[in-house]
Amino acid sequence: MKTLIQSLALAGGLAAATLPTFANDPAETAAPAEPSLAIAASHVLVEGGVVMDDGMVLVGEGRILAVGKTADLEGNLPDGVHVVRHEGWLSAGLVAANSTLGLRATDDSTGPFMSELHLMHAFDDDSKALEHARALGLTSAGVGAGRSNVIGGVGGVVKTDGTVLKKSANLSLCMTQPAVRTNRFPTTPGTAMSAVRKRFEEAGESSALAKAKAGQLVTSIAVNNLADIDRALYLTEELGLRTVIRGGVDHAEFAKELAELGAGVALSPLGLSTNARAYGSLEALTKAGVPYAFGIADGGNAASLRESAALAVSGGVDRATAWNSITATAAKLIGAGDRVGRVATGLDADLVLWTGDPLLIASSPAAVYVGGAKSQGDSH
Amino acid sequence: MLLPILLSFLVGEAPPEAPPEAAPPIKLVISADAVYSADGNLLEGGTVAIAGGKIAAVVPGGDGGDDALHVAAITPGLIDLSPRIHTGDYSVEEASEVRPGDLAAGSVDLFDKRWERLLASGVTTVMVGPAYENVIGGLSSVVKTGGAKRLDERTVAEGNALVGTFGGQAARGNSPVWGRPTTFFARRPTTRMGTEWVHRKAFYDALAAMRDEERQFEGWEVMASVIEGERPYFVQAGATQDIRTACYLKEEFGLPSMVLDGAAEATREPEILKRAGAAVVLPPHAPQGRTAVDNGFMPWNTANELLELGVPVALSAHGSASPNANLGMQAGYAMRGGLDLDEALRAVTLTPAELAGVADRVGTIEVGKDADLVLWSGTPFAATSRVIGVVLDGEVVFSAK
Repeated sequence: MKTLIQSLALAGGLAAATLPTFANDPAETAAPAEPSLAIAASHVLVEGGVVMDDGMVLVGEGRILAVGKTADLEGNLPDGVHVVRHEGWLSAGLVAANSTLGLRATDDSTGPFMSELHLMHAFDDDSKALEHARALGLTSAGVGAGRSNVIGGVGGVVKTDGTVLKKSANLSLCMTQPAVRTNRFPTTPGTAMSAVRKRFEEAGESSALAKAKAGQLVTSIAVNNLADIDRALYLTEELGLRTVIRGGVDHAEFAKELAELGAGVALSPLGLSTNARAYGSLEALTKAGVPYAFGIADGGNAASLRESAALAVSGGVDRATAWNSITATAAKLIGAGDRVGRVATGLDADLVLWTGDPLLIASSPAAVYVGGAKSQGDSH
Repeated sequence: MLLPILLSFLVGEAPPEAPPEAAPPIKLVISADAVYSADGNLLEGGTVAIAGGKIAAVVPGGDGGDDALHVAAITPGLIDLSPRIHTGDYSVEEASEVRPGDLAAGSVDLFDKRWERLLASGVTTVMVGPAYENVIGGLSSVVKTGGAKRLDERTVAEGNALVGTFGGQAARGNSPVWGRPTTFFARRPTTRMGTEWVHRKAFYDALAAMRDEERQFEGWEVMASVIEGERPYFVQAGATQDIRTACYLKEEFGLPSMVLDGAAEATREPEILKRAGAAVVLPPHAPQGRTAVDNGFMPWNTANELLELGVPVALSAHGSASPNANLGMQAGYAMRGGLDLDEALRAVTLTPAELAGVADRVGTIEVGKDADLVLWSGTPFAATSRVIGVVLDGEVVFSAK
């Protein structure tokens, strides 16, 4: 009976899709949930480097309850479980390290230092952009401010069904073009940085800047060139920030320093015109153990994410790292690694059925589940 | 073969009791037909030994043997106080024309190719200030031209001088007197007399801030440090009238230390310059005499005349690394204007090091100083000589071969 209600609710996507839920605490789930959905696939891409053939994923109350061989699990399924059998691949939904998905605005020109601006107030949970991204297999994304302000504001983590996973997850900084050299103070990277530093040092206890300093928010620092990365590293060191470098090229130069500071990199998508230098950068970051993931805030869309991972493999990155760069690592960099990015027990049931290997461009999503609910209206 | 001799020499010099910590091992030994130390010493046939990035020994003799590096001449690494290697507009904070508290190095780009070219031309240390667009542009830093890629690791001295501008450049492109600024970038002052007014107002405000807490403003401490002589006021002033104005400002506020950058016409009114006690950094020599600093006219004997007046003179190439205009050639041109080799060498090494306040680290070949050396194919600054190697902090960072 309980199982039936659950499966009805989840099948309709009621709870998740219609109300923007700001609190979503996993600790509340006390009793072990009963599965309501079982998906069997020829190949389950559990996470980067781990593929299980003839696997099955059990889903209940929006979470992944079990992952195993179909042969082991299907015999013990309770009555009433909806079983989906897929000839193809099953993976976690894609995760973008940054984006502006669902945001109706990304920059406010009230002033250059908008640390208490909350991007979530511009979030439209019914946005077409979310629907399009979901149709392409993207299920979660970090959202943050643009690059017009030195301190752009506090961003969060959203799902493409319109759910807000985290209202406050990141703080956006941009101490270079275009935030500087516009029609107001500051007009140089140096003065922008010292102004930011001063604000951090004088920040009140419960301010967003204090939270960033305490590591409760990820600090996303936009860069254009190596000098910008040097400045970002300096600020990270001085203030003890949990930094993700946003954009830029040729991170190879600072791979060691990034690794030492525990900083991550959110890369712009790769394209067919990406040069050898960018691939060299990926190689150096991989070797140094710097976590990196692809974002779509500075161009590209959900499709670019999968293309980026595929091109990364063509450029010499191992498959596991490449896949994680659009799923698990991205989830970690946006501060949601405990909720999304892998096919693992306890994580959200954000799953994609692919017609083939998702790292092949020719493959496409056959079905997308967010929180265990199959997307409505997706044509694939 | 040379190394044991040299080491025995070192041991002979060391105090008899064992040093508290082991001295770093000798890493590089270079001998030359002539070692120009820039402190007045010339070793005809000498050897320089380097350990731990510092000069460990300078000894006469030593042909080096087959294994050692041997060159025609060694000089200290050259120093340019006005290399203009800032990031142009991106080094100028436009929020106000008076920005004493800003650190210009914060906007620098060490990955600009110009750094490598400067290094290859023999310049190992430079002063980085903002572009001369603001009246008071901010604090400069002294930075090595190579080595580490992080700015803080390359910096020899942070905030060593306050940088300002006299003359037309701080007023150029600003809005006309009859209009209102239409963008953030168009502002006052609009003339060189306005520039002078802003300078004086800033120093009066600083004097007031030093006496009255309520009149303090952002960066006033930096202005105060200049008034008290803790750091020099490093100002561009090229034309005679601007040099005069700068000297008057120095006298009016009793600024203990002032360096006039780009002072092409510094010899026009020698008594004012001498009375004020300012030092000079000359702009690059121009074939027809007209320099790029406010079109100031600089005769080729300017450096010589200033030295005769007793004014400290440093030369600058304004960042040029081309063979006919780099800093070594500026020294050569100054020699054509009357300097002897030792004076010319000093004007691109020790004097700029002293003016920038970093002579304890760089500027001469002396035991204990940074091992920044230029290796020459012949007599330094001769038009027929070239830089065949550069050593920075004990590492060979450029080799013509």
